[in-house]
Amino acid sequence: MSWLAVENLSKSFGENTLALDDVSFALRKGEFFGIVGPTNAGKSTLLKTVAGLHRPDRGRILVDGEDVTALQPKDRKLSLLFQNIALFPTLTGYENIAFPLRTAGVPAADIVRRVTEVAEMLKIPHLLDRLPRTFSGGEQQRVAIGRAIAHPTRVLMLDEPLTNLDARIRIALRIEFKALHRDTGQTMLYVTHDQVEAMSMSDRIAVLHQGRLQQIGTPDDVYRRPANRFVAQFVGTPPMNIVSAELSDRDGRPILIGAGFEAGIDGMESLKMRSTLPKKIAFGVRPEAIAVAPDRTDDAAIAAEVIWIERLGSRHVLDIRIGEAIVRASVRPDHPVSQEGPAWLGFTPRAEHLLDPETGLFFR
Amino acid sequence: MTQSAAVTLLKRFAVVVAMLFAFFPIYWLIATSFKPFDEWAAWPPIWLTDAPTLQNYRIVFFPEAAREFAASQQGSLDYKVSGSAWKAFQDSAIISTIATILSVSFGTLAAYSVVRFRTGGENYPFQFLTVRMMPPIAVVVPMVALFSILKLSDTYFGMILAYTAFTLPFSLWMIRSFIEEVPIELEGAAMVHGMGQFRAFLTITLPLIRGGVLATALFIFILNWSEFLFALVLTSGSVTTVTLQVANYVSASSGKLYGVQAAMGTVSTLPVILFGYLIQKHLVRGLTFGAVKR
Amino acid sequence: MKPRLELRDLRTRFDSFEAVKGVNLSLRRGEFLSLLGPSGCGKSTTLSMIAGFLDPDGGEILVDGRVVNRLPPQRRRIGLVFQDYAVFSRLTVRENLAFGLEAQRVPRDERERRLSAMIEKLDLGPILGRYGGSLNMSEMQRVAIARVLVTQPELLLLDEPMSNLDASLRASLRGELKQIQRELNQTILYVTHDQVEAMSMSDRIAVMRAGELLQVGTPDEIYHRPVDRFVAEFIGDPPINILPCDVSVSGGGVSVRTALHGPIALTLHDVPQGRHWLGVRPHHFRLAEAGESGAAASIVRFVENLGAEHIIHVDYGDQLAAVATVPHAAAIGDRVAIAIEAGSAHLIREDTGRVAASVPVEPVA
Repeated sequence: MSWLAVENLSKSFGENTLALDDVSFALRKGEFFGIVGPTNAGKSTLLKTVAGLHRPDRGRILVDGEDVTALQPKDRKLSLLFQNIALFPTLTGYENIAFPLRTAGVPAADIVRRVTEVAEMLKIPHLLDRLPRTFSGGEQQRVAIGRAIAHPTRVLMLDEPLTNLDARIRIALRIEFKALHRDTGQTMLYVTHDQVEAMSMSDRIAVLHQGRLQQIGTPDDVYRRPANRFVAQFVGTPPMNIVSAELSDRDGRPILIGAGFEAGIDGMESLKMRSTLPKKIAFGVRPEAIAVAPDRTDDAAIAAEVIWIERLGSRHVLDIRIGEAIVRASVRPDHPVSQEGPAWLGFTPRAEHLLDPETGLFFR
Repeated sequence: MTQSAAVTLLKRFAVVVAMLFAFFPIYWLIATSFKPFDEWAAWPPIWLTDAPTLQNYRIVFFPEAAREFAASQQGSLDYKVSGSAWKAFQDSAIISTIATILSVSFGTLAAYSVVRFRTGGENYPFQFLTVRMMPPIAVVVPMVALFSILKLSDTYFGMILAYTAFTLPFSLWMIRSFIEEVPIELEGAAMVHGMGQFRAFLTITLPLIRGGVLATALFIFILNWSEFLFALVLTSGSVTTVTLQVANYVSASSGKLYGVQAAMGTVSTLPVILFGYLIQKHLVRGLTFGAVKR
Repeated sequence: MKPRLELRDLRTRFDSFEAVKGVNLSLRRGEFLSLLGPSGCGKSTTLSMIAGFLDPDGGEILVDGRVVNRLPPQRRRIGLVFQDYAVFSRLTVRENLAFGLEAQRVPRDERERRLSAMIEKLDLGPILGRYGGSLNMSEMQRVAIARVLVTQPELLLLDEPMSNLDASLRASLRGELKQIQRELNQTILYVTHDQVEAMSMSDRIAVMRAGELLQVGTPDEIYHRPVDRFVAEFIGDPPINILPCDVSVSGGGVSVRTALHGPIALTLHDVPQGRHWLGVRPHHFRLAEAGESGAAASIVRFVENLGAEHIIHVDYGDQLAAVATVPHAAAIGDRVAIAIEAGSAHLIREDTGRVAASVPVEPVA
């Protein structure tokens, strides 16, 4: 049975702003579940609605089978780490962490023990006697995390907990979140706009865009088998190339014919509905899956022109024109094609990367 | 660099001029309060008297000094003047203090409701404020009638009610802006971590806006303390206020008693200054620093 | 040929704070040069001086060999594109474009001629009648640039134009900006704090810190041969690993030892014995076979999943080191062996922060 279930949740602010549009998903107990999407996708609204700070227009929220939709936030036994941290400025680090314990009526001796324990785990004993205004960004974050985990909670919700932090602190805190998850089996709902963070931390991720859920799956699943054009181009840098083509057959094998190129398709047998595919089609191919060569080879037999090379240090991103289309390929910096000019390309799109150019949905 | 130094000098000069302009009336008030009778309205004006006297202050606080003065001026003072100003200070203190507390308390609650629940819609606070755009003189006549029917004329309760009603829009408007500055997530955090909304407001938000509430209280207190029109038309002797008492210092023979009025005026600024001084350390801004990431 | 823009010992101070401390820089005709640095490094101040909004305390600004220090902004033949593009939302695209020309009182027929040329060059015909407020970011970028270019500046300055935009949008705007620049062969000085923007668009990058230029070079030079620790750390994503190391003098050179690696022998003579740093980029570490010479064992603490590659973070002394790998090469808790790719580490002096040696770094067999 699912531990946290969100069913058909919709929420709008005013007439024209639909922040959440029929969102449904379910977490298993002990799962690390990521929600990822661009700014204004509705991520924060979703967490606040689950926490009870917003009243949904439609839909239900169930925790451990209990419908909590009508409950006050304080009665839901959920914890939320706010995006802007929201430490109580008039309370010390200690009192901030003790806050949920006090409101729950935990005996004084137990509060002292628990706050000490949490502070030691987060390496913040030196912050307990101080007020939040004396904390650095990373310290604020840690105290807020301490407050969020001090009291046992059914789901720990984290809203962009690592934005605006220095890269090294970010890695350290990611490791702590993973350790916390592993050591306590805490169910976690983790919201971020950073697809790398979501992919790196989560057992499963849900991609949210304009208030709608686009796809739910494991990180590898979402990367390898995106559900639609948005997911394909949101997850992965540089984004997946999407190119229009015509689907045809040659010698009984399906091929893609576009302006200035032909390409075979990998794993076509896995696609059940070959006969139902339209003739006008589009396909996706990841930048790292494109072969580039200075001279024609079997793997790179499409004449093309490199029009611009982004030299990013650890890799070069090539903008390559084939016919009408421009595709981007990612290569190592020591790749033989290191100047703009003519080059040869090759790619074999995978069957699961065929999509309908009208709807933007990948065929399954 | 030289250019910006000249600009700085010019700015400082402008500030000095503005300060002179602002402080001149206060200087004149205090200077006049120590002048003897014949210098009050002398021409050319006497900037600082050579013969400072406390006579004006004695007239304010001691009835016998007032009678003595009246006799010496071969005229008669109004009967109220021959009484002491103590009662005026006492009445003003009672009315202003209670009306301020009520106005700020109701204003805080109303502002919270407006900010967090959008009570009354987007324009409500502004509509509320428009009440004050009507000149008080326009509502005075109906109020006199209303107060006499309700038997509120010339009572403490009536005055407190009138003052509370007329300062509430200011309280609401000012405190609203302070509450808006407190991130809603602070209360959200308190609620998620087990508090009801009203308790979250009392324990988390209220301490943060304390400075703003006190500043509003000071502002409202000054309004109440210096109010004249309502006091004039809604009282008839059993309740009197500082502003009324100042206006009462008139003599049939010598016209307005400027020196006495100045003395009373000087004394009446003291409670306001005292109140301001007492709350000054609470008027610190930026209390939410460190609470949220900007 | 004279450089399009030349800065000679440019300096300025605000009261006692030296904002720009003697900058020398020149831009070739048609060059795209980025002035890159963290906020407060003096890059925007430098830009203000070039544009003519701020008088320098010393030094010269030359456009096409002519000193322009004394000229007001509008007579320097320098165009400036503001942050967020600042396209007038209540004017149409055509009115936006004509704005600068009208302000300069360019005669009507000349104005029309330049406008139609620019409209054609930047393909603005289809959106001419639309209002600024209705444009998407890509169109807005083109309009903002076109609006400046119709005034025919010798040099175009851009001041962090994309700083408030989403990452994906920035990526596509970068490509378009570069394309416009190449097609028109426009000289551009681009101010940014974002190293990806600088790396991806520039012919050369000038890295600035605390009012000084630290290094000027092509993106490849800056990435592969940084001159000091700041440049090494500022450029590259994921960031370079800075590992404490011990340097001891041995035979003909020095020998370097980190918490896990070494001794690595270097033919260097001018590095004092003692604690220094070794900078190794995540992509210059590789997973090795256990027991391979030069490889060291460690434990994986975290795996960053970038899709096309994974960055694993392994224990390295009392800190972590990032290592770029192919997907699923290792999982949290795994023991792995890591080696430094030959010729890619940077020995950084502890006292000066300067890079003492980048290449060659050959591990001792």
